Amino acid sequence: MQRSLKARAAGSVMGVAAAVALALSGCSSNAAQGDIKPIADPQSVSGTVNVLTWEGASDPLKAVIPVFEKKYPKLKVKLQVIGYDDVSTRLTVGLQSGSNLPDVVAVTGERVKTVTGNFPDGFVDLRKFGLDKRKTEWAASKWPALTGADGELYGVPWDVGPVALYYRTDLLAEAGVDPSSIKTWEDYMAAGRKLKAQGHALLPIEVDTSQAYSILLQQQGQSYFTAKGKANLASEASISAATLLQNAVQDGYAKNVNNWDAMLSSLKSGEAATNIMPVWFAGILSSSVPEQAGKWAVMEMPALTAAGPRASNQGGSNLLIPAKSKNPRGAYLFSMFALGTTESANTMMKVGNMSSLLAASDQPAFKEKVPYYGDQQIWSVFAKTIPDIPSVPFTADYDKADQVLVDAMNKVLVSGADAKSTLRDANAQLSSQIGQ
Amino acid sequence: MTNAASSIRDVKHGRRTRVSRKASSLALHIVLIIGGLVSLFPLYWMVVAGTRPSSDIYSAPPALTPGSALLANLSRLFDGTTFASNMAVSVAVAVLYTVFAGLVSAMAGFALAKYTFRGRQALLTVIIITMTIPFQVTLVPLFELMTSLGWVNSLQAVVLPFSFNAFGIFFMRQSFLAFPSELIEAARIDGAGDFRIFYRIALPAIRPALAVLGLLLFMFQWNSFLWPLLVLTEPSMYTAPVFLATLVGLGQTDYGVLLLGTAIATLPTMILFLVFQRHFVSGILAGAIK
Amino acid sequence: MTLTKSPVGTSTPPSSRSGGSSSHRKRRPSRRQLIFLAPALVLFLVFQAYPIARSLLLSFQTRVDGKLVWAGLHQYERLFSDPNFGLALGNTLLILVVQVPLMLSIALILAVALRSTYVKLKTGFRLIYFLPAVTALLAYAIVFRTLLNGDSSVANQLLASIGVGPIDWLGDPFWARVSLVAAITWRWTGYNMVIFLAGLSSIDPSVREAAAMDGASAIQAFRSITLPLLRPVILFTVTTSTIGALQLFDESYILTGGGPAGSTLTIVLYLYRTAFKSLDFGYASAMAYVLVLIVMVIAVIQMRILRTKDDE
Repeated sequence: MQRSLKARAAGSVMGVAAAVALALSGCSSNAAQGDIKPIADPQSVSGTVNVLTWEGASDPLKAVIPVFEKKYPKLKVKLQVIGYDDVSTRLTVGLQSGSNLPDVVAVTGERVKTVTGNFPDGFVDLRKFGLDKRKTEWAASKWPALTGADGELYGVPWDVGPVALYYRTDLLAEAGVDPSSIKTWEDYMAAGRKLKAQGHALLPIEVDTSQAYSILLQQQGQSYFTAKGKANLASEASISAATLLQNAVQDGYAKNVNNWDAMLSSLKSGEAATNIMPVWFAGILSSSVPEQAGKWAVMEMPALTAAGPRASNQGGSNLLIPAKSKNPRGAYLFSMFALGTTESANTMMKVGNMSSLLAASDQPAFKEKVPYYGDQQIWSVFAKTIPDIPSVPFTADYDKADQVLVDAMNKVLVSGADAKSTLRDANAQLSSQIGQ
Repeated sequence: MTNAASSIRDVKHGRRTRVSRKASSLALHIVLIIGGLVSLFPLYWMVVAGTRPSSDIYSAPPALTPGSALLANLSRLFDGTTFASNMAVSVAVAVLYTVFAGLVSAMAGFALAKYTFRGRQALLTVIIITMTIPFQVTLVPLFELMTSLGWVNSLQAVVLPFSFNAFGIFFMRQSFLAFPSELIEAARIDGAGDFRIFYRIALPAIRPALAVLGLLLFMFQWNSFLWPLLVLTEPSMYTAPVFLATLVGLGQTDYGVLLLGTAIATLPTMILFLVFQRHFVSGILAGAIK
Repeated sequence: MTLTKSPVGTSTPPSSRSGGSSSHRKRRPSRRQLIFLAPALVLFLVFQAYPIARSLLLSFQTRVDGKLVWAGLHQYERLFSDPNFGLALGNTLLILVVQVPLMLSIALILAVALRSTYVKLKTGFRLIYFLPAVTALLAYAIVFRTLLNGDSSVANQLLASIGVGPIDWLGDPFWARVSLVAAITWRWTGYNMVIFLAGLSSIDPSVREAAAMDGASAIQAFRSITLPLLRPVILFTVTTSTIGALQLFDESYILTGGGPAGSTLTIVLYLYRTAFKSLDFGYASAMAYVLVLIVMVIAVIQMRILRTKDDE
């Protein structure tokens, strides 16, 4: 029986398509690599630098770009600002397809290992530009996420997210709580008791993220994974973090809220009087709850043990340079200018972005008196804790671990499930997911 | 229902008195109004949120009356942004797409409904299968194709790939099924060619369905977000939904501007609906038979 | 081509064709007929077949040290031992079984009601019911999230006015599912209503007048005349709504984030996370094609039940 005309035409088109597919999959040559070594003559580098970042993270960069372009007249920076998730999507598709990538892309700390782990040749090893010589200028806690298995340095550290205790000065005063008395978690719970008597909750805990838990976990020097990359959800520190939060909820001091918006609503309505949050929350709080200006202040977060650190980290991004960038030298110069100079750090601090450069904390912007927080020099409070932030390991399986943990913590916080056994089960589930 | 028919029915059954008709009419109206309120309320609130500053969205309970930030939000939406240009791009892209994909769908649907040939059922099955494949997995290879064709940031990258719209083809096929084949045979006897039959007889006969198809294709393209996000990297070329999504930060979103922009972006489709809707409620098959 | 004479008149499918076996044999498409199909086919082969083939290939691969290697059925095997996939599948099917019949029944009733002479301001109502479908996904999900968030959400205030206690719409596993079904139904009912409107309009009014003359009540006429004639359109909405429900992603992503504790995790949301968060494209592709298989089975069953003679 003769095959119809249509079928034959279909067959040949499929053949072409298949050939194209094979050709595309083989194509991953990297023309720019030859240029990558320490830049001897920065002023000679020219061209455009395409920078991809998200709404909110763009303001600090917008502030430094004019200064950069003045210093390097041959370079032009094009800033692309899209939604946070969309940066991730574009980057993923770009890496997977090997095309349409920017010269510089912003990636949050927890996600760096995921992208570099899945695409080890996807990003420029910045040691080739000499970044390793300047490594110690930034907070130590930034480097585990950016460091590859063989010591590669995949990005330049941007902002850090030191955590502190935000509190309502008026509500604490009403409840008879002296803020300086809150040094440990027990003190914090004691404050919660007094606030509860006044009808206020101590803090809102979002049940759809791992934020509260992971802050407490990092404070104890741990993360979802051990240094060797094994699942770490059933460790003592993990169970302790979960239990502390669960007890706070069950004692009525902490309130479960559904999501980020609900957390802000809870603060806005005065239902909750404090929150343990990173530095980048300062601007969000002041713009979301403008009517409470002057009523907030920050202090060091409570220690979990008597001698333990009163510091932790949540968030903070980095700038990475895709290997397919057409202008890696320009990209490096921009990243180092924006993130590696104290002048830029000062500029960025003015818009609420706290650099992880250790020397930056001496800059004038860090000493600014912020009206919303009763003219307190809040940035100094945060910056002082940076050296104490424990460094913790990250792996390429961060998202899987996070999802497992969020589901487990939901059961612990909302349904009151036993922390130890729930986390044990979660750990087993994670281990099997990551093939350990 | 013509008046003659309904009054004949009245006479025959004597069941439906004036009063009971009025009562059921009232009941129907009440139900429809309640349903309408449910339908409208979230949209009303969206417009309200567009007239308030972003921080109001966190008020618990949220405000239900319009605020005074409309002008402020409008200026943030339009001044120094590409929104106006993005709306224009969206209109151009959606119109082009609707015409092109509509034609493709109608032609293919017609062939699948009216011509019997070997492999027809298989083809239909393949078409339905393509509807079931989640876009998230095919978008990366499709994107690679765009880059190798050099189509990134072009109009055709947004319009062409989805012009094969399985829903559209399936819908056209189902609509053509109801169209009597005898008319085609009759026209053929009269010497009309296939295209003539298609254009002059079949298409007009399914005008309600065509109107719906046009509307749905327009809507699909208008609200399409993920694909334009990936193939358009030049901000002035973004479509409206892509622009609006750029307003969503990490923990920080200008909700007032976002929701106001969305309300404005809803207008073109709303207008199109009002224009087209009279077509999908008139029955015109009668004309073809006589 | 053999010419046949068949009874002229109603739009019901011809019950028989007179003439010999020639009319039952499936004909090869003539060139003209191919031209009708050509644009669709070309577009399909270039823009659909190729990506589908590529992603199907990806489902048989895995990434080792950044390179794609052949993995056979490994990714598919993973699905069987993955509790998340089972959870997502269960949630998705549950939503399907509840949401689609609910929505389509309401849509059909609305379509009929909004053609009735008893109702005034039909255009206005049709617009009002259709508007939700026109709203951008991102915004409507944000709106619903705000209206349902917390003890003093608008939804809870309405409940309070009739004396019912606050419901944790987004935090309780059961109510989160209800919220999801409610959101989807709110959004898509009008869309399907419009499709039914078009379908109802294509039915020759003289058919129904004849039925009325014969003494059939409105409901009888609807059941024995209108509904069967609407079958192709009903099949369309059932199939497309089913596919839409099985592919549910946006609402579950923005409204509830798949929570609480995975109670609103849908297959495509899980797939999206696997592909774009964990960057595990091979596994995501396998998930997609298992979903395709499931949808195909369900779609075939639906087509069998709802097909008309023309669907041979």
